[in-house]
Amino acid sequence: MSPLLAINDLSVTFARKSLLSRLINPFPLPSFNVIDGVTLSLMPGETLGLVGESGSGKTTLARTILGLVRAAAGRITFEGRDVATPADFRAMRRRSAMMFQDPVASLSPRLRIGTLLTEPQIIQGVPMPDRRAAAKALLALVGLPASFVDRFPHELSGGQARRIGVARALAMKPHLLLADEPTAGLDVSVQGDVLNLIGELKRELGFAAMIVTHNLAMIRHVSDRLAIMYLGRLVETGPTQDVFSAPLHPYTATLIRSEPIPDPRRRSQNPAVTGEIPSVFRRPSGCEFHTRCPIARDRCKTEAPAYRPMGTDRMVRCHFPLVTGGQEREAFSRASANHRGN
Amino acid sequence: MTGSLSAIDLSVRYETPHGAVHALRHVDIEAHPGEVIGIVGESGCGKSTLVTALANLLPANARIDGSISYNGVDLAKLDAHHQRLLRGDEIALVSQDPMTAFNPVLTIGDQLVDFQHHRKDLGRAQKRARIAAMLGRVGIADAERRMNSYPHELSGGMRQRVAIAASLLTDPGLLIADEPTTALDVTMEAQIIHLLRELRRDYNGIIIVVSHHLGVIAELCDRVYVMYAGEVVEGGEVDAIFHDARHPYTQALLACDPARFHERLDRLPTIPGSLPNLTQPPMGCVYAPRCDRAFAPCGSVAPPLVKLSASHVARCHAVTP
Repeated sequence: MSPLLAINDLSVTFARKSLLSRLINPFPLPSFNVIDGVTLSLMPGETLGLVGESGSGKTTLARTILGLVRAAAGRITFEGRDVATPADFRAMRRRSAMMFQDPVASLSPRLRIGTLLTEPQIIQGVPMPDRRAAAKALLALVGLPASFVDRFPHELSGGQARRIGVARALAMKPHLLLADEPTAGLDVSVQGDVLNLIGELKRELGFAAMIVTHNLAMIRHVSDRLAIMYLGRLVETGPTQDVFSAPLHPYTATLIRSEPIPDPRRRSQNPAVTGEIPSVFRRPSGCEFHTRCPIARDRCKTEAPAYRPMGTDRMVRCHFPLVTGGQEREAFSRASANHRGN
Repeated sequence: MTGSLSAIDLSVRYETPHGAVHALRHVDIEAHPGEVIGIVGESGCGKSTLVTALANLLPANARIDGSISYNGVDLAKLDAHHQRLLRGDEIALVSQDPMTAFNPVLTIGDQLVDFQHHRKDLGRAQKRARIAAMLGRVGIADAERRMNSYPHELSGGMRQRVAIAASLLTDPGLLIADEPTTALDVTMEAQIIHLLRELRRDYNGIIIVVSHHLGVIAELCDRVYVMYAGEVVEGGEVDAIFHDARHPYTQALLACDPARFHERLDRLPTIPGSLPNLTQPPMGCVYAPRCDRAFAPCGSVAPPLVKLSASHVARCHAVTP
C-alpha cells in the first residue's frame, strides 16, 4: 500500500528578513531551521501522533503540510502526487482538513454555526442545494442538536466548540485530518468524548489522522504510530505501543518518565530530566539533546547522530539508543534510578 | 506566622443581571501548617472561586456566607485595609501563567524588591540579597544576573520558579498555587513538582495546590478535596482518594484519566451529561443527573456529608461508613 502522505527531508526556515530589519541591519542575519530534515509518512486510515514540547516545531510541521507555512526545502507527496505550488496545496486542502488548536478562536464570532459549518464547501465551490440541511446533517454527525445552527460560537462550551471543529474539518469528507492539540484545555471527562468522536468517525469515514499534541497519556490510546520531535527534528518514530513500552531515544524515555502518574503510591523521586528545551536559535552542537541527556557521552557533543532505522518499523536519531537488554538502557535506568517507587 | 485555615459552611454567590450564580455552596475545608492540600475538579467546579475567596480576591459582585478562619481571624469579616495587610504578606498566590503576574517593564529584581515593601527593617541591598538567596533556592542558576532580566526574557518554567520565589519572600503562612504547572511542558512540570516538594521540607505553612490534573495532585498533596459544581463532594487523605474513592463523581473522574491505563483503550471513558445550571442549583445531589448510582432520594434531598473515617468524607446518599 502506498502512503497517503509522504514528507521527505522537509525543512522550514524562519529568517528575520523584513524590510525594516534589513534597513536597520544591512548584514544578513542567519536564518534558523525550525523544521529540519523531517521525513515522515502516513498510511491511509492510520492515526499518527506527533508529539513534542512547546517549541519543538510540531504545529509548524502540521501547518507546513497543508501549505500554510512555506517549506524551504523538501518534498511533500499527497495521494501519490507532489504538492509544491499554491495550486497543488489548494487541491490538497480540498481533501484534507485541519482542526486548529483554539476551537473558538478559529470560528468567526459574528457568524452562526450553520454558516460556519458550510463555509468550507462554499469556499471549495461544492454545490449545496440546501445549506441549512447540510449544516444540520453535520451537526448530527458530531452528535449535536440541530438547533445549534442558529447559535453563535460564544454560546458553545469548550467541548461543543471542539465538536463544531470536528464537523467543520469533516465537512469536505477529507482523506486526511490534521488535529492540532484537539483536547487542549478540555476537562478529562470531555476529552474522551471528543477523541471517541474522532475515532468513531474515522472508522466510519476511513480518513487518516495526524494528531499534534504534548499529551502523552491521551495519545497512547488514540494513535497507531508516534513521531517524537525535538527542536524541529524527529528523534524517534515507531508503533505507539512499542514506543511506550520500550522507548529508544533518551528524550522519548524522558518524556514518558516525566508524566505525573495519578497514583500517590507511585510518586516520582527525581525529575527525569533537568534543564529546559534549548532554543532553535541556539541549537546545541552534535546531538541537540546532549545538553539534557542523562547518558550523553563525548561523541554526542560533537557528532550529530543520523536518523536511522532500528528493526523493521522504528527509526531513531541517537548514537546510543536504549535497546532492550543493552547497556545504554541500563545506564539510563541507573541515571534516573529510584525514579518511581512501586 | 503560621496557623490553621478552615472554611466552615462557606458559600459564595455572584450577583449577575441574570440572577445569582451559586458558585460555591456549603463548603467545609480545613488545612493545618505543614500540610499540602489539593483541590481538584473540572472547569466550573468552583475551585477558582474557593481559592479567590481564601485569598480575599473575590470580585465586587460576590457575596460570601459562612466563615473563613485563618489563624483565628475570620477573613470574610475583615475590612479592606486589613485584608490587604494579610494578602501578599500572610497569604501568597502563585498563578497559572506567571507572565501575567509580573510587570513587563520592570526587572525581576526590582519587582521582587517591591514584594518586600512591608519589610521596613531591611535596606534595598539586604532585600536584593534575600532575593538572590531565594532565587537560588528555587533552582535559578546565576541569580544575580537573572535579577536584571525582564519577565519576557525568562522561559515559562523559569518564570514559574520566580513566581514561587516571589511568593515565598514574604514568608507566607498560606501559599496557594493555582494550576501551577498547567502552562508548562511535561519535563518542566516534573521539575516544578519536584521543586514544590523540596520547598515544603523547610516551609512550615500551608500549601494549597489547585489543579484539574490528577497526576499533579497525586504527586504533591497530603490531603485532597474533590469539587463538583460548587460543592466539595469528597475529601480525604490522598491515598484514600486515589485508592478508595467513594463518591461516584470521584470514581468517574479517576476512571476518565487516560494516564491510568497502559493498554490501549478503544473508547476512552467519559462522564455523560453536563454540569447543572448554578443559577438554580438542583434541590438534591448536584451530581445526581449524571450519576449511575442515583436512586430515589438523590433527586430531591441534598445528601449529607458522610464521615467514612477520621479524615475521609463523602457527600452522597449511596455511601455508608
